[in-house]
Amino acid sequence: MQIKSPIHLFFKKRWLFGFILLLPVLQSCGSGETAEPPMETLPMKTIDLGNLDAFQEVGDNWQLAGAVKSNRQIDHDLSATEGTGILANIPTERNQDHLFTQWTHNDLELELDFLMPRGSNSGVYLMGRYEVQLLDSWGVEEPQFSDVGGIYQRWDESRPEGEKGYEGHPPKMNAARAPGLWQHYRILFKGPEFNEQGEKIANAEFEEVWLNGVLVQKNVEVTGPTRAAPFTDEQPTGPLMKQGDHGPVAVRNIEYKRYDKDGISLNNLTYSYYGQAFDQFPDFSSLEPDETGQADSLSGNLVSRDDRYALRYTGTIETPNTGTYLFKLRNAGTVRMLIDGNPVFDQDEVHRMHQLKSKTVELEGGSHDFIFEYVDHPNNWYSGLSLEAEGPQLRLQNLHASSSVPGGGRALPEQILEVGDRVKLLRSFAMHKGTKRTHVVNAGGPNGINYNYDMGQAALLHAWEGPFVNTNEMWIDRGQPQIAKPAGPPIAFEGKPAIIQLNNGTAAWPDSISWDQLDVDGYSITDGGWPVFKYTVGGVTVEDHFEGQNQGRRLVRTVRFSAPDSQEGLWFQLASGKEITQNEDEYVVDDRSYYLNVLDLGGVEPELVDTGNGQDLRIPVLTEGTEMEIKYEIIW
Amino acid sequence: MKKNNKSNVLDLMNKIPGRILSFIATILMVAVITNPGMAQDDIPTEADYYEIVDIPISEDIFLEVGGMDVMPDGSLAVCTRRGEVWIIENPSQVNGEEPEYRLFAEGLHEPLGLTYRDGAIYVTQRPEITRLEDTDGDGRADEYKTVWDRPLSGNYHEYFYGPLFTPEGNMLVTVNLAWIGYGESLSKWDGWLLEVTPEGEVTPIATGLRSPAAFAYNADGEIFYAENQGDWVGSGNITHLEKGDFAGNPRGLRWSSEPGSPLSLKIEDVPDTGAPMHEVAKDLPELKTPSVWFPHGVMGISTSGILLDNAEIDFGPFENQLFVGDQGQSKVMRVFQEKVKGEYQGVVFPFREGFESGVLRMNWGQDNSMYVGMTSRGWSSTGPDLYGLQQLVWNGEIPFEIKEVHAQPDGFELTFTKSVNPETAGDPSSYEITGFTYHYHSTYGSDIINQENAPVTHVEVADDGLSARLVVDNIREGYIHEIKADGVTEAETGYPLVHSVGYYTMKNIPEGEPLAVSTESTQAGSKDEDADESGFDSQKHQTTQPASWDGGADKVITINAEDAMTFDVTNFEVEAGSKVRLIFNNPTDLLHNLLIVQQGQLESVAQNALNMGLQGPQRGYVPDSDEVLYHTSLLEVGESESIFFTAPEQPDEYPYVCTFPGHWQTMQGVMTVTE
Repeated sequence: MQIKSPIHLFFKKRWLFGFILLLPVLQSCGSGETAEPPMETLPMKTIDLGNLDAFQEVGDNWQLAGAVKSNRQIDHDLSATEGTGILANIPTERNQDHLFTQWTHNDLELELDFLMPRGSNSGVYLMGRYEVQLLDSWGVEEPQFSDVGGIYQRWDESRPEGEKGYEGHPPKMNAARAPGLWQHYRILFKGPEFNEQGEKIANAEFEEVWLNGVLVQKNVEVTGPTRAAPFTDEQPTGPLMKQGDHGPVAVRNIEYKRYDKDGISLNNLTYSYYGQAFDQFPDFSSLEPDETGQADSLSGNLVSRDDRYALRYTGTIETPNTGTYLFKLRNAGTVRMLIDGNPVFDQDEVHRMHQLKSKTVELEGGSHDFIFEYVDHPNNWYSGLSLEAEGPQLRLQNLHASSSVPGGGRALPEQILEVGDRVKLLRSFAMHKGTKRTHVVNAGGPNGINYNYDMGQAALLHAWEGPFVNTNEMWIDRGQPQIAKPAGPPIAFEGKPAIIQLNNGTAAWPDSISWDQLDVDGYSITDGGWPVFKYTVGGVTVEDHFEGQNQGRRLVRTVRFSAPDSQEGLWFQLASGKEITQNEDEYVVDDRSYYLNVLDLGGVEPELVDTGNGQDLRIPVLTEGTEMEIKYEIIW
Repeated sequence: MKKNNKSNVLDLMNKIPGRILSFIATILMVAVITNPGMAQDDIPTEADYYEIVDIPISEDIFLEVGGMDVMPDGSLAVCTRRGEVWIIENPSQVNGEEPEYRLFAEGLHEPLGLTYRDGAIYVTQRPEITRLEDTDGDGRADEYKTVWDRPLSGNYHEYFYGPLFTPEGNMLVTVNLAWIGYGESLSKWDGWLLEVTPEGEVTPIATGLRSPAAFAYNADGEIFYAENQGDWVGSGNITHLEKGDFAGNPRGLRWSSEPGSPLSLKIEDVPDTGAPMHEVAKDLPELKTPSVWFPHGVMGISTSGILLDNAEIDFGPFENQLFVGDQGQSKVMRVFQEKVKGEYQGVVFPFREGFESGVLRMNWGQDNSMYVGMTSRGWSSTGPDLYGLQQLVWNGEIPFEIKEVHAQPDGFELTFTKSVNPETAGDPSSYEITGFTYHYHSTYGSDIINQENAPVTHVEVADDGLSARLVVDNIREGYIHEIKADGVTEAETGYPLVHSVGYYTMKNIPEGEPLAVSTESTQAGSKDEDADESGFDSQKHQTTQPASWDGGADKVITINAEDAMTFDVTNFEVEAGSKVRLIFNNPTDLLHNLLIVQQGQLESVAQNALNMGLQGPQRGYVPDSDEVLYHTSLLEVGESESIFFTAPEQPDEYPYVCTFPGHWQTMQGVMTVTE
């Protein structure tokens, strides 16, 4: 039987439940599942910043550094300490060269960290031609194409005055961090395509640009090089370029993958369907299939109700390049997959869809025999199948029909909760560093400053400026994840409980606190609308209060403690992270992720404690007296 | 304001195409046959006594009702699934003035219960019981006090309901099981009824709960909770809960060894044999069977709010009875219970349908009307709106109804709200009684099993005409008994009963003297044909490839039911006379079928399916009608079925639809037959 359209994988059961279960959840006590996760993608290539070998001749304005400093109050302030791992551009009148990679590219996936000193300007030029802007855009209310996250405009002198600049694309929102903090770009870029005659048949396109975790550009086509590009023509390849002539900038963690235009494919695929129950893989050669046919992608089953079944696909897999291939499998039931007779997956127990299995295989470029065998799950709640593949210079792609993944892989529409003229609160579940938190309060300020907070742990999770939260995973249909997502670029804090009883002042700070120790009393709403969270810890009453300020984007935290008697061993943690450096009353926290500005610690000196994998900043609470108030602000 | 869209049956009939109208008329004519000459319009319906009145909602408020209570000043407090608490002043629109909405609190996590007490509003939101108080008198809550916070797994299905205050001032709450392909107790006390003190001390009371969306006191101050069909629950029901009870779903027993647990039963102690629940309970003393079963698809599909008609309420002749809502079928049912051998049991009747969305909560207004709060997001309902708020108002006239059903050693005693015609009511052929039950097993839901007739052999009508004593053969203990009284008419008017059917759960047959009757014609209950056999027409329901199709199907269509209560494919084309294989998959956690029907007959077929009564679930809601061309079976969760058919020769558009009650409005598609 010839089937022209892909045989749609029928999927029986609730996928999302499985996905939910997969996520570790921080409850009242304990977290910490740290099993090695299966590989999601082939590793990106990293530009070795132990030296400058990756780059064409380098001007003196570019140097390697071990660390950088940048005072957020001083224009163009960037100083480097000796070492490697960071590229710092400190231009002078004489030295302000651009930096080009030795390698060239067309389609490119790129990630990098960058740090903009106050008032500075730079850019990332894909293929040396198409620019994503870098600028200190902190505080800009309506970002332009010339702000960070923007696709900078092209220029045509022949056009009339005022229209010479064109095709500039502002970012969807201003996702900039404060000057002197590390920021992150993730860029998916498709280079222009040319035919054999060298004629361009497709424009270059920024498929996605993510700035600090927010998608700021999507599917932006560019018809030619940006205004200040060093190359004015268009070519099949070009080097990656960092702009050096507009101001100081630091860059690190440059990772990339180059992609060819073609991909991996399954060819001559034939399926055989066996309508019976198997506990393990049968000897298919001894069985007569109930049905056979052809398909153009892997998909599931041709099942009648209540039936158990097995499927066997045979065909070839086309692998255009020689090298390491990654196969990602999700399936209910059991799978055996062979390439050239060699098992890639050979499961001996039943699986469920939420369990990702990954395998890398070395393959020669060319065509290989492909066999895929599938026995369904004995519990008919669980079914489904997906297979993805990635190869050397070959994008990750599906080898299954789209209908065989939950909801056909369709995305929910955004549903942004508007704040209005008073502080908006919303309790929800929330994801924080890969863990699902269940007792979360999201608070959105009319001034656009937002945060979320784990009320079951007295733990600040994220802060962000911009739109409040996206509720599409709560309020559309059943809203199974029940997750409210920050709708702006969130900065993630460590998420540890802020207050705890410790045996000694240098003891390791626990990841969580039990409700036996932390009695959650709820919150009250202040006149300004911001909540004050209330707890009792031992005999101590704690009131924890945040207020967003959009003048110089800040979250001001005020914590009040009161108790009948002075305390011993009760500590409050102001901040924790990879590294905390101090500059008078201001701390730069977690490897230059945010600033912490002390306003009033009631005369108590905070202590900087090494934690093994970083540092935290803590103070003892109520060692004298029965009342105490501390106040500090977080700036990012 | 939302359009005031009054929906009662008569209005509805104006909107129904003539063909359906004539069908309904046929049914009504059958009912009136005993009183020839009467115009069909004269037959009173439920809407003639209880009017549904819209309570307007501002356009910008998503009033997805999760919980409701009436405040001392008559205002209605409503919490919504989006986490808001609204105070609605003048909900009954006194003097024709529209109600006023005031936002009292917001930001709660899907609160599904609300209770006013002593100047504060208590809600159960996902993570906690919260006490909301306005301390500065500005009309908005400013204290959100955590009364008790509970552990959560992060699974969406751990819904939390209540609180119901005990006379001592403690709070009763129920916790839903999580859902991971089956109901599971992922967090401590999932699947339990708990008592929580104002200080947050917890005492576990009972478990075995699956989806306990509502619970309330009856007139005796005893707690009844509403359960939804699912795993270990063959059909919806209400169950009396006392300390130490195990209501059927074993997953909550995971916590039975925790301190304070009132029972020590373990999950593995519960047999998964599929034997009827009342039989399993004989060997499992902790197992508490429902006091009243609500047959699935007939008496709703998702029992929700419970409301006691107490002595202060003037709502008709049903004092001390319970009204029970249904989310999926947008209706309210009526329950009478009695105690037999120390246990509650009783009967459920239809009462009023036609609400605008899924009924979740009901409360008494100070004007003796019933406020009905609704939501259907994620669980579609017969009422088409996403949410709603309506009022059910009694006009003071007594409907002719079966008021109560009392178990008797040899049958039943029916009481009526008005005197019956002794001739019709005294005729055994005016009645039809059928016993049946469900499997008790880990499978989701159950077929109707062990269905047998219970012939009425003799009837004695009381002198005042207000009761009838039925002597019935084959009354079976533990079984549900469908009691139909289609032939009974009212003495004065000759009208039939407004609702002539009830479902009585015979947990115990009472002791006592049988009625002394001459036993001239007592025949044993004849067994119905096996209820599992749907007896479908194989032309319409061909599930294997016809032998003559040696080349296979010309076209294979795969259609999936979706969570949003839709088909993922809403149109497809086939050539006239071509061989078609249609694969229908049900990956949702509801039941669905797919019927391809004659052009223009979608609504008609859907209505026919709704009117199938006990036949509906047995026949997969497939009406026996020429309007149905091809159809699948009723697919349970996770099932799939292929049907094979030859496309009609006549090019046209043939609609397809799921006829499971409450689904047809959204689960539609069109098969286009081309030349």
